Amino acid sequence: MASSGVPALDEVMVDGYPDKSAILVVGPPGIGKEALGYWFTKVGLTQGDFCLYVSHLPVREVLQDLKGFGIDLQQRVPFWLASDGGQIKYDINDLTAFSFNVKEVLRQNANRRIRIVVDVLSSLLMLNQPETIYKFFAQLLEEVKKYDAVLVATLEEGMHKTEVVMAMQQLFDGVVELRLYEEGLRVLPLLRIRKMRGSPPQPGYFSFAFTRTGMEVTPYGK
Amino acid sequence: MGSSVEIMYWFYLVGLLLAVGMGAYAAYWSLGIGRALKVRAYSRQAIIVGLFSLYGTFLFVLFYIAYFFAPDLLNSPLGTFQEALYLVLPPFALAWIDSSIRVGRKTDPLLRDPLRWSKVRFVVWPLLLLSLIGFYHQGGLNGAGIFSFLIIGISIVPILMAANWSGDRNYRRSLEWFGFAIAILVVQNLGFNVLVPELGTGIVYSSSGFVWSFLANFVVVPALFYGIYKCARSLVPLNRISV
Repeated sequence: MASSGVPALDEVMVDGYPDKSAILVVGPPGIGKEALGYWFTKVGLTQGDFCLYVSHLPVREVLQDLKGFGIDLQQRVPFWLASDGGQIKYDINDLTAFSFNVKEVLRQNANRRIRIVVDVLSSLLMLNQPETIYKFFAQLLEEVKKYDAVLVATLEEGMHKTEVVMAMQQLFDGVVELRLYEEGLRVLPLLRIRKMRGSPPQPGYFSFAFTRTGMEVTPYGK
Repeated sequence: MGSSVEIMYWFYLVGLLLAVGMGAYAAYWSLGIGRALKVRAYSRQAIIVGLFSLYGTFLFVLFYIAYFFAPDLLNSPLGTFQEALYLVLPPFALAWIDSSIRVGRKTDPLLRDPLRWSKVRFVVWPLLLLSLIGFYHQGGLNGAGIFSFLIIGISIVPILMAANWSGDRNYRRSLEWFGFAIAILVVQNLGFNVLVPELGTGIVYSSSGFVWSFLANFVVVPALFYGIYKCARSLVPLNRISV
């Protein structure tokens, strides 16, 4: 199992994300989906795993965002595939190069435990036909699972048609949903594990909050 | 005091309470959503909408008391305070524009920077604040208003570009509702002053005062706060818990 970097979330998922799995984090913009990718990367770097971070943002903006969540990578940095400032430049219009670069990085680190964060799924879906991206990701995830790797991807809710989001969820072994709910006059940010390979379905909701020391996840009782 | 005047006072009071209630409700939701969102740029945008709603409510209460209940207050420190409050509107509007453009860029897959706003904002902000200070001393409040509103007017261009480039439907819907609220505010503050020259002369006792007050309290102001409420609710999809 691969720790998510959030101990309370690991407990919920029974020790973390399954080995050789692909996890999708779904939620509306601004709710903090990326933080799950950050904590996942941080714990990987601490454990000596090879971490690949794919973002359509420049590296400096991702680092600013990390700071916003109070996350300090402490000099350890992932391998960046980003639009600017990374080891490899990410070009959103070149799917072939994206696929080639990821496969090449995986091949070069085949003897290590690998963690991959992909924060480009929504932007790819906005610029391409959903069918193209579906096929592209199906092939990419198949390749990733040949290695000792766990991939975490984020997907924006409210930017794509519901059927597109549902179809993308089918590709992944686990789906973590972060959403805002209204209960009476209250607005609650809640987390739900929609599915996780090897675990029974979990119907419960969890409250979550970001603190200086990490992410707190507690069962939400109605 | 005659019974008809008493009825009118009750009417005005109901209008006042309705507006305050709607403004507070819109602010409550905006601030609640702002608190629930974890990414600073999005949270800031929602909080600005909430503060704008509180500001609008406060301004309306002062406007209401001064124009309909106690016109003499317009020549008092309260009147000056109310006018000074209008100076807060341009920085408020720019803060909202600024935060919204930054959110819009985040949701543009190509990360375009409309009219290089990330750099231009460092010129626009000081320019706006200096213009407010300068015109307050030299040209009076009206001059300040005109110049600062000109800056705001120009700043709307990049926000329209950001909305066009953004892939987020919620974001666009939220902008549309805020635009609606701003339009209503302009109608309320400028239109009424032009259309109702006798405002501030104690029209509480006249029949035309009753008509304009009815329009303000039960049409214009509820529409304004409804726009702000919808703007806040459109910022992010809100779901209901299913067990």
